[in-house]
Amino acid sequence: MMTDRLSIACISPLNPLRSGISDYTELLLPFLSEFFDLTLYSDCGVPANPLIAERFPVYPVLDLYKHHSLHDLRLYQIGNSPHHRNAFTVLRTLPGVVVLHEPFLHHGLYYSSPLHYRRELFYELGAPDWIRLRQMEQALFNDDRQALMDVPLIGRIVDSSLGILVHSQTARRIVEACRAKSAFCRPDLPKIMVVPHLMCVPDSYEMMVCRANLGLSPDALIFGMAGFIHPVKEPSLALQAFARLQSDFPQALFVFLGEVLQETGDLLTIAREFGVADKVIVLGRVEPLERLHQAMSACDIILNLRRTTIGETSGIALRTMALGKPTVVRNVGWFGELPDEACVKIGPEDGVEDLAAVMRALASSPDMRSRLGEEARRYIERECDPRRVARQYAEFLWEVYLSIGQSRV
Amino acid sequence: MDTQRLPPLREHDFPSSVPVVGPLIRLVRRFLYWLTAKWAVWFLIQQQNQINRTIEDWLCEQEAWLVDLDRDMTILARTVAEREIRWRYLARMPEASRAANQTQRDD
Repeated sequence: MMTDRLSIACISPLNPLRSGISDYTELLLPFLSEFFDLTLYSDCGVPANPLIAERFPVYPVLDLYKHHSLHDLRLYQIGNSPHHRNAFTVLRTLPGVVVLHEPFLHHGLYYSSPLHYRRELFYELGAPDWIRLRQMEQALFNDDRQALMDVPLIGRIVDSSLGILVHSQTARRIVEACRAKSAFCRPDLPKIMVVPHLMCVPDSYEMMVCRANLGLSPDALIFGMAGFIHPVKEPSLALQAFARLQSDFPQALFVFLGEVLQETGDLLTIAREFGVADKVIVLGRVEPLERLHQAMSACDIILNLRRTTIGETSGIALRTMALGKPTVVRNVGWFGELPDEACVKIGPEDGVEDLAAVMRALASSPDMRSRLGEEARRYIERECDPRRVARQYAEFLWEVYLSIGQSRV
Repeated sequence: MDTQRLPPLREHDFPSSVPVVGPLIRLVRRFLYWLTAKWAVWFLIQQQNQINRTIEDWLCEQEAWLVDLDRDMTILARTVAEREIRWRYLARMPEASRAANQTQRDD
């Protein structure tokens, strides 16, 4: 085997572009650089993280057209967001290995450019179908993810990529289903591998100190929801279930730690409908990460629900687990792949009563909370260690490079 | 496969928003139109509709063709990417073997 280092072009958003993938990549890069010479292509301008800015050369994504011949492989971090606009464009002509953070790219493509969205949709359908385009646009505006999942818009990536990394078996199944439908895929291409989402275990925070910093009562039982607050995270259902607990746990509070997206509506108005407006605190986006960790540590239980998963992995759910906090998820997609002992799962179709029952059980048992939290933290240490994940990346990238390099193409 | 059809051209209806006598004005306009221009305009509308349909069909074919080209381009891009890797791999071989020979000599 060749032992010299490969030159890898990493195409990814980086902070200050607000995206979970920016945080992910910044965490991965130092570990990945132990194996490869990395050059970054990002439209972030000057990276906000000084460690990244000092350590790696960073160019705009479109510069890859000029520099591509300098690299042995291209590694794209792709998710369902318009931050990847130029990456989608470059990917069409300069394919490589793609890390698909979600095997579903409707929002990312549409909000990058409706024209490109149409192009990708027709590509995937194999023919221009205007009626289907209207249906998809309507589903997009209504955020009907179930309808959109029929055509996940990853067809071109599956056809052109040399390798695809995903974070869950659920995502792998979606990619493989797409590959099975493709007329162009070869048995050896693209190679597909599941690599766990990485997550560092942060320092432990003293819950009471964190509460004091946020001005929260030390005696309260605090439920939380973190990350972008979007209707798919079911904040309304969570508040409805929370309202059912009021008679048994009058000291309970519900804290939202994240940017509330417009389509979610006004959380305090929703809380007022359920008669718990005085028990709900909306903190908005909590920055920097250190402060988010502290705010999450102030909570006793964190809800990470999803109604209709698009095969995504939740960074915020992993962060919750890394902090040793008990988390409640639905038994769907990647969330269903989490070990039962490291989180509490409700069924895919469970409603307010089931959620309230789970929240009540957790609220009344500090032992259960502490046991779940410890298991969750152990799971993160075991599976999501960045060094381990970077090694898996390295093995996969070498495998792709060598299998193509040694083949008789 | 479905196309995004333009609505066919139609004759103007000559509406009038004048109160009370509006319908009468409309009738007079329609009569004058019928007397002076209807047949010529009708033929022009038919011709234009035919042209529009032809252009739509042609655009639709082009769109289908573009999808095909797009697919071909994707596969070509993948093939080029594979060739590129293969080329870089082979370009490294002399370096690697030189390094290996050097190591053997040093031993």
